[in-house]
Amino acid sequence: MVFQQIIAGIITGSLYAIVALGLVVAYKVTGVMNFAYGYMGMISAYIFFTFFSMIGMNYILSFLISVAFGALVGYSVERGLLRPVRNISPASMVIITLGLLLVLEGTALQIWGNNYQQIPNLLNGVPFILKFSGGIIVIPQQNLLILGLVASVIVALILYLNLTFQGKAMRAVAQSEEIAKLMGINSNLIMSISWIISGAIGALAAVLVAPQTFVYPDMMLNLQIMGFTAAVLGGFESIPGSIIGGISIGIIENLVGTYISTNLKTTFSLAIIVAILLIKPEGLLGSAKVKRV
Amino acid sequence: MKIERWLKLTLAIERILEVENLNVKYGPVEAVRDTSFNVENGELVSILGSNGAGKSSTLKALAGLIHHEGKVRFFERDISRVEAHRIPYLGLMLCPERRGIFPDLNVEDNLLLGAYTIRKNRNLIKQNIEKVYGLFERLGERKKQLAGTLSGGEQQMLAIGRALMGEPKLLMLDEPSLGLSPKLVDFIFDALKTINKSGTAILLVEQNAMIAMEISNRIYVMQNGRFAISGNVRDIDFQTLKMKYLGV
Repeated sequence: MVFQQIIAGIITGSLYAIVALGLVVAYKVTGVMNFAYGYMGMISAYIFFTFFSMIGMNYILSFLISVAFGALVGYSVERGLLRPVRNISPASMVIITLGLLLVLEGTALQIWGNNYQQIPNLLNGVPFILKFSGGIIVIPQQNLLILGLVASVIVALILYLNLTFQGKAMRAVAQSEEIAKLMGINSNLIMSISWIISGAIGALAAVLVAPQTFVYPDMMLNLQIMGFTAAVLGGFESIPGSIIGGISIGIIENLVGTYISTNLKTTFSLAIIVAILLIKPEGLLGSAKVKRV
Repeated sequence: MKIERWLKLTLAIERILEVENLNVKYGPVEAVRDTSFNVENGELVSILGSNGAGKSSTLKALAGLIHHEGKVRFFERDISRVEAHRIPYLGLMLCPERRGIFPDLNVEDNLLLGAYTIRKNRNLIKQNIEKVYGLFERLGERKKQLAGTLSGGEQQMLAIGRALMGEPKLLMLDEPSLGLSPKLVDFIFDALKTINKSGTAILLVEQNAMIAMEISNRIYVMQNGRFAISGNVRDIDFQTLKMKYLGV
């Protein structure tokens, strides 16, 4: 029973983790907390719904189109809405993302209405069953798919950031835009790329979670809040921080839901996180900022 | 490709940097006023002056980081409106004030980013990394160490090494002696001399006038955004310099 809940927690947590990751990538490179992040993903879930359920296109093709659409949304938001004000007022960029949240919600409502639309799992086969002396663990195939995709995204992102010139340039821009320019790095381009990656990750998370939440304008609300929390818990700094943050929240949430109260699941887990942050304000893996002058 | 052809053309040019009536303003404050100077091929030229004289602003303007007026010609090409990130491709590299290394990246990655302009040429990068390790052995011993954990002197070596990775034709340095012990300053300036002798022209900005004069061919002394004195180091009257420079 406990193991079953922990496994379920890891699956939910892995979704929190990539949402956190998408937020952190954009934040580290451009310095913007994207409050519209979940809602940008929601639009992609509707794109999936439109192509797959309404037009009747192939599942995987619809999936790829919606992720590509997420990348496009990420690019457009950074290029069209944030960059024009970047050098004028950093604070207003955050307000812009809040405004965007409302616009996206309204747009989805206008186009697709507020019915809960259903989209199916990609994998519906016999669940994966693990029997051992302590009990039995059941993992639906879709959950294994989620875990696999999330893990691949994380590995790909780590390899990109550490092994390619462009990935290193991205880390350079995250540390100092001005110095990066002195190296010949086109920091505007790198910022665009970071939002493209972030947007694609958000779309992926939305399409993966959609079979459970259904597709509706506020479908990503919970995932966005938990993704933020995961990022904060991880220190809003690093990839490992986001992953550990996401998965710990997933597990805590599932255990609280099972053993304490389903209604209190979110409240209780957030309270635990507040407590952790009171003890360690820089987050689990964040570093206390020490600067050599 | 255009750039490559242009770089070939540059071989025959003697006056590599020519600045005419440079003006930099921060709002109503004029940091650099109508400044003109030049750097010849192979030269080591220093701009000296006290804090706030406009030296750093001059270099930042040349690197395209801040808005400026006036003409800046690099190898006879007007670069006053070229974007900052395109300037290193032309062979003009700024090693910024306070080193500006990337603290969360290791030594080797810092150097690789210095080679961003030649990133397609892996062999050349390998070769240049070895050259930098040859010049600064301490860096070679700390390849995998995070740059933020290096000592001040090592960070300065890293910043200079990084600036050399892309094989600049003119290396600009902003206060490389800042915050270093006299012994380290000597070491760094010896290295600069070596770099200059191997054919890279250097434009140096320094508060530490004595050490800068030891290695320079020519100097410009800046005061309130203008040049008070300029000339060949051998011809500079030390008393006048002291008067102007220290404001006595």
